Amino acid sequence: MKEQHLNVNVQFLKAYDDLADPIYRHCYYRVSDRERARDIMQETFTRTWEYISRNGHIDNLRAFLYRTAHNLIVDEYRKKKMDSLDELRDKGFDPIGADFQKDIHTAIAAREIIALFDKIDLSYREVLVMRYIDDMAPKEIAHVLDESENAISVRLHRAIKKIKELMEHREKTI
Amino acid sequence: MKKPFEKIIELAKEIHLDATEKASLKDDLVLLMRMRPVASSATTSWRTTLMRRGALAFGIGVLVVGSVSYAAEGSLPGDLLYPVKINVTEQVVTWATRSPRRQAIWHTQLVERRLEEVERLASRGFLDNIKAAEVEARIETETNNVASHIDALENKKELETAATISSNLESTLRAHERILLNLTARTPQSRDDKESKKNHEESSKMAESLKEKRNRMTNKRTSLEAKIATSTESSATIKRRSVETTASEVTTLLTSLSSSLDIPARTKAKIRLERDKKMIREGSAAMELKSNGDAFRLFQKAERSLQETRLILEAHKKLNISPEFNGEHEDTDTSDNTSEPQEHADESFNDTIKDFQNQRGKLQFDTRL
Repeated sequence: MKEQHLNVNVQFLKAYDDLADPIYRHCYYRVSDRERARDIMQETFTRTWEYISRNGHIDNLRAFLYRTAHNLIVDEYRKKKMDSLDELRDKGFDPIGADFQKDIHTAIAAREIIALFDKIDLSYREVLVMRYIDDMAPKEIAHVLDESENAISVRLHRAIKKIKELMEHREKTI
Repeated sequence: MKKPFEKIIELAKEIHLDATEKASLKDDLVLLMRMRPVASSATTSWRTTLMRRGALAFGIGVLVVGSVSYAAEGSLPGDLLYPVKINVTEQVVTWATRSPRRQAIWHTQLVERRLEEVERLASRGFLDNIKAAEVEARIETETNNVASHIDALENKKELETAATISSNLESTLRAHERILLNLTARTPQSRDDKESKKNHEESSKMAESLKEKRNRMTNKRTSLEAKIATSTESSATIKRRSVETTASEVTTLLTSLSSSLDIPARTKAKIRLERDKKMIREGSAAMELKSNGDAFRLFQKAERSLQETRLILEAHKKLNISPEFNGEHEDTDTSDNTSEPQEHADESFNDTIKDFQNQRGKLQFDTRL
């Protein structure tokens, strides 16, 4: 039993080492706010540990973490009326934060992604983040969101189409 | 050649936490893992993990502090290391806790920690008036802290979160009130009459004090629920997910304790569990009728009852006392606007017994991913 608990602790901390950045990135591109993304990431691991500490069985820790993060993000959307980025910028908000200025190309890319995602439906945003930022296959996305693989594939297809339209429109207006 | 979107995505994936920040958050997580170990022997695991990971990049000083904190974790009022537990270990977690919601949850956990200390003292016959007064003062402080955070959440219009936290504290206080009354009925074998009497008195006083705090929290919770006129579907869905998880955990706990419980206690716990599962089904039915506010309140009521059951069963495990589910029950609490009128309460309870006996209407919760 002690050996088992030791393994759980070690495995959980390893999961943090491996997945803290990906979960943070996932949250970041969905809530467009660095501070909130960090808080949600921390909350995700905290809640998962609380579940484990009550001897909850978790077959797939990675999927559990993403699902927990997703639920917290949905909670966030519900609690706060999500301001559009334009409104936030008018208030002096920069989603990137000074730290990311260190790598200008990364910062520019992040801003572009957030600006694009800000213009699409939240349900499209979530599948795009999972597919392209988190590198999840449609099957895994379906598992996390508790939907059918077919529904996810259709939504992804529509989301990509929407993004392409936005990018083409952006290029025409530059 | 890569398309523009894919090129941007490749760069966008470089976004990551600052290394110092990542390490700092990991330290917070490690502290939480110590506060909430897995089942029984995780404190040993924790020590081994600490040794393996070195000194969490803080050097030998942290190892020394960590060892003292680890030793202090099991201390009780009056023990030498108790001030370390209160003023060092718990304070670090308090400082590290960020959002108002997490702070409210942490202070609720502190209330629970103090109550477990009282119960451990009472079960050994060591609860004198000095220790009782000290712990009672801390419980009052932490309950007030939770209440402040609930008010802050209410002011931010996070009504469902505020209602959930007040509901959780309410069920914690109710469960521990019952545990203390249960302990009051027991007389330690090896103590003389005078000390046993003091122990009894202090346990009874504490139970009475908890009742008063619990009533305050009930009033707060019901006023918040009244303001949640129409909950959204996503709020009700989130709440349902939470209560289903709790039901699954309680089911697992009851199964693991089956062999150590006597038949009456086991039966009462099962009947309670079935009644709560029935309430969850009623909540789901309300959701289908788009009555998400009613669904939220039903799920919350079921969750309160399940949490109470869990705490009472866990006290049985830790203190080796037979769980007691008798006494005042929330169904008779008229401040809860989803409770049935008293004349129908017995009828629905009998239906629950019938369902249980016929093995009908079992809910299967799949919390495994």
